[in-house]
Amino acid sequence: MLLSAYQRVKRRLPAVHIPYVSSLPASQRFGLKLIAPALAMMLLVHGIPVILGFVMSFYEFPSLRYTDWFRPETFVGLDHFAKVFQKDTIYGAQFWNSLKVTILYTVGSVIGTYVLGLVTALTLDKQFRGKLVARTVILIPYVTPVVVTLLTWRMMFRSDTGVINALLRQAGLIEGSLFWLLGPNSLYAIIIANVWRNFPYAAIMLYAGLQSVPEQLYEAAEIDGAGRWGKLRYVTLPQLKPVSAVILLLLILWTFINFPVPYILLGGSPSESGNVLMLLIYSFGFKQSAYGIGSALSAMLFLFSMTIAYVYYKRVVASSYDGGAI
Amino acid sequence: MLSSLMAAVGSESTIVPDEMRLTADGKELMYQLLWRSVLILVLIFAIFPVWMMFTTSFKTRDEVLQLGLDILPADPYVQNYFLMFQRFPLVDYYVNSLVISSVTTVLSLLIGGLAAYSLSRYEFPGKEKFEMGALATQMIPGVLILIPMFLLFIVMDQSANIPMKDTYHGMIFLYTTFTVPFTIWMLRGYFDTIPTALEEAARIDGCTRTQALFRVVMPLAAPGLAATGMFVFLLAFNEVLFASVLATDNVTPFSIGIQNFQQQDQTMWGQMMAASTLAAVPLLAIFVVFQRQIVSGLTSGSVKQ
Repeated sequence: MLLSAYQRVKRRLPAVHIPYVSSLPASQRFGLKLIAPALAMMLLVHGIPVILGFVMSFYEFPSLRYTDWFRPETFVGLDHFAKVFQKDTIYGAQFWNSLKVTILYTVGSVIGTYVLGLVTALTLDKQFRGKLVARTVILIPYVTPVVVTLLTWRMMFRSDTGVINALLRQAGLIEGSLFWLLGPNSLYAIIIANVWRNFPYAAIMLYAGLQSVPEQLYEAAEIDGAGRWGKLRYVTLPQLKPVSAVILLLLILWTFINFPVPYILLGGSPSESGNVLMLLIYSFGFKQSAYGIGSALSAMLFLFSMTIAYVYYKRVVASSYDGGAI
Repeated sequence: MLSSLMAAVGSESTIVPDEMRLTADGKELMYQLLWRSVLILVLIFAIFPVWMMFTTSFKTRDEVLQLGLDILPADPYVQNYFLMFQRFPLVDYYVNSLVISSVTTVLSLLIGGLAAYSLSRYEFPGKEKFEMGALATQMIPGVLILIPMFLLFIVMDQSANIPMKDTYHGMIFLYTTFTVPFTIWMLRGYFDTIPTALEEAARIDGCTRTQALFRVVMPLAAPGLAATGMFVFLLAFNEVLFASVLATDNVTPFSIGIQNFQQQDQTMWGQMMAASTLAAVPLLAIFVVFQRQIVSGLTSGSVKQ
């Protein structure tokens, strides 16, 4: 029905001739037509704002009235970038701290997520009853709305009556109460919540990777006298290299520019040890009205994550796909 | 190297008396015990917060503040599920989220689906650039485009008289674009698994390319569309950064509204968890129904079988 309506409308419209596109073969034109809406939207919502964001980082914004923005006298050049890099300014001190926190947060989360995901995938790969149930349960953190689960983590991390402190006390690991969402532990809190949220993804991807390891390799290793550890070390792990490369890249990017986890757990103005770059920029932009500094920082964050992704892709993903058996 | 290893193991076996050495069966049993307990620990870790959410939703205020680890609340307090609607316009939050996320899902599947199909089947100039561009959008930190987007919304409102901030269509437009690259990524893998012979047959029978796509390929891709749709819905439902700035007043979605239960002096945990449970249960139910498709959709993108 929709289709025939579309065709009726199309027949009435005059044929459009775009100089270069019209000369292409019909199949190529059709391919281009199909991506056109997606391309147009991405240019509008990603393209223009990204360029605008970079431009904004060179300007100072004197007021909230947009007509006052982008005038020649408000052009400050690279001032914002210089301010951010100087450790003795108020912005610089916060930036360097946040950069350190963000890197720790990313490294901690990615290692935790990957290791837990790998262990889960290896146990899921065994034969046992109720495997489907186990797989379903493991994916629950990944498919429950993250706002909801993060608020639950916030509740569990409470210092006085939180269940995590109660568990630790029961186990005899701590006396009294730990502050999880305030002070130096806030970094661990966001790492734990982030690992919980993402490990199912790593587990399911690695599990799929394990299924595609050819059985002959294990047989060959067995003939060569490899035990369980040997098979894991010399067959499984190397075979998982390509899929691991993809997972690690995605995890790094997801964590590096992750906003909901720190924002919902720690709120808009966190302790120093949990003040990741995304929260810092958010507070510059929407609490301290330092749009220029905020834009400069986010432009840097974008370039940084693009660089990580590019270098990583060239070095690891591309090479392991060439060399891997998959 | 292997032989020296064997020697080391051999020498150890002379130290440990025969009675105390594990037999092969014993070793196997220990190993089974080990991985099974690891699996159980992982399962507990995965389900524990969701379980806490569920049980807390049946606790009174006093019970929430008490220490202790009740696996089940002794006396379920159902009042939370009624009281939660009185304090805030919670129904509005649910409806706003449902409208924004559902329309986003439909549009994203349509627009992303067309693009994914094009990438899967057709060659055209600039194809690789488009793919790289779609991937690059995933590396843009939200805060970088949030401030310019805020500005653009104001400009559109004041100069062109099109209200964008605090409207359904504004949020739907944003979320659709944010999720399209993800939809392309997931559906492309799915379209690759559908044989082209079917479309070719349809074309020979006189279908146009558009008809072949909508009448033959899209129905076949239904499971993939369902799985992708669930993740798009979740992405739109979970968004907090843009919603916190651009969707206030009448269109406040659930992800922002639920944080109202948390106030300066106290937090109504019981009611908050009741509201959370109500939001999570339908999505978990959908997941359980479609889980086969969801798992295969998730993994088809980057594991080549």
